[in-house]
Amino acid sequence: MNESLDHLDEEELLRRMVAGDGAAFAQLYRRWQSSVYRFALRMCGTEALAEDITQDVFLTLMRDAGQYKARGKFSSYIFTITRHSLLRRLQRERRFVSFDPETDPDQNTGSPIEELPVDADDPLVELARNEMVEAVRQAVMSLPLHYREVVLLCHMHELSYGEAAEVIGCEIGTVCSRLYRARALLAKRLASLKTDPVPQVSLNLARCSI
Amino acid sequence: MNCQQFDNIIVNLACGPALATAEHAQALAHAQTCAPCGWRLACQHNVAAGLQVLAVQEQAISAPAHLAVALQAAFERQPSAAQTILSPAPVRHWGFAFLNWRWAVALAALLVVSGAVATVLWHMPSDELSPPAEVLTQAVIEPPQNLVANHAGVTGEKYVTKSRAHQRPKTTRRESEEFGALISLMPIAQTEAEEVQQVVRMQIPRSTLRLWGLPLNEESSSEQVSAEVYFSEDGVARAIRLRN
Repeated sequence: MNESLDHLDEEELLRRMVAGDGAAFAQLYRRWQSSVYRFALRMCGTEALAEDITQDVFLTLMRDAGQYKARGKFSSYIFTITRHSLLRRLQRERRFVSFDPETDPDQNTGSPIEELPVDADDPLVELARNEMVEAVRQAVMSLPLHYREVVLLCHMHELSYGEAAEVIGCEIGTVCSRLYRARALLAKRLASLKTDPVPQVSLNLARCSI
Repeated sequence: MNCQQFDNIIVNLACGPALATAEHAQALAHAQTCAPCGWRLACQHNVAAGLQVLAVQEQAISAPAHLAVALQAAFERQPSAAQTILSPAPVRHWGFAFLNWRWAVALAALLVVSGAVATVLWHMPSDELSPPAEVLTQAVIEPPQNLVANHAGVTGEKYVTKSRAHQRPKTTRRESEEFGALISLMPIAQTEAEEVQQVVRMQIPRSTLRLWGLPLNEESSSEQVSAEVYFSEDGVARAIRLRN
């Protein structure tokens, strides 16, 4: 029966879910659990919290599946739920993080984001055999949250700038700006890991390429 | 192309949407001639490549297996929305609705309150149901026409309506001392306190006192004197009290 559901799009799966089709829910879960869990894991940094958030997201989907309106892509919808759940969890866990986009991470060396714990048992640690991948992962995790989420959404989960803006609830220009700054920060941090002397250049971070 | 223009397109050059061929060629040419811009472009290429590899590697990460089991069980437990929609709505029997204990309590409370209000109203004297005396004392009425017509010089200050004599306006001790004794303007037999309806405090010429048979000093006949005149219901002055 699962094979017959593979070709169905998310809207149809949700419709069947509302009708009580457990196989449709299972299919939807298989299709999206990894994305939701990875996004949550890279945003909060702990497996337990990511697991709770994933559970919240699919419970919300069960409850509100009937209210889904297929205006945009389903990916925007489910990542929006994930982000809201993540913010609620972070507030509940009293692990507040700065979401102020005006904060310059270069001047804020003691950012609480950088203090977020990264699980030693993170599956990526085992998977990251390549030193460069591990360095990139660490650089991404050290980004402030509002930069990290645009990198994760646009580069890891391949959302367009418009879809990312829809998830975050901001303008496309804001997404472009944050992505530009995030990439500049990543470049600087990856360059600092290298032994090669880094030329003293000042990046103009306040530009959006689009 | 200068460094500023190169900086504007460096992200797109590294991993973004394809640039126009001419712009792309100019950017690459600038990166070859300008060392800082070339370095930045190399860094951006590294970032793009690293993120691509990271994205591929991270696709292997999944949520724990027990989460799928728990969520599937939760889905099976929840009532189907379709079942909720398709099941007929329960028919409401209004007769049985009143048997609900909440309705019974509300009805009992309503009866108790109604009974209490009815009892209080039944035992309340009828005069207490009339408007309060304070309201009546503030009611301004027209002066009796016969008095005004007969004594054009009389200027009324305040007209107070009284339903009964014992409800005369409350006067302070100082006020009562200012006014003299009550002088009846009619034979005592005809004067019944119950008939007094209005008390009018007014300024009247002293010459008016003669009309009522009161003593008058001729020297001060043109002066005004303050008095309280008590009128009966038919507008006839029954008594007067002069100010000392």
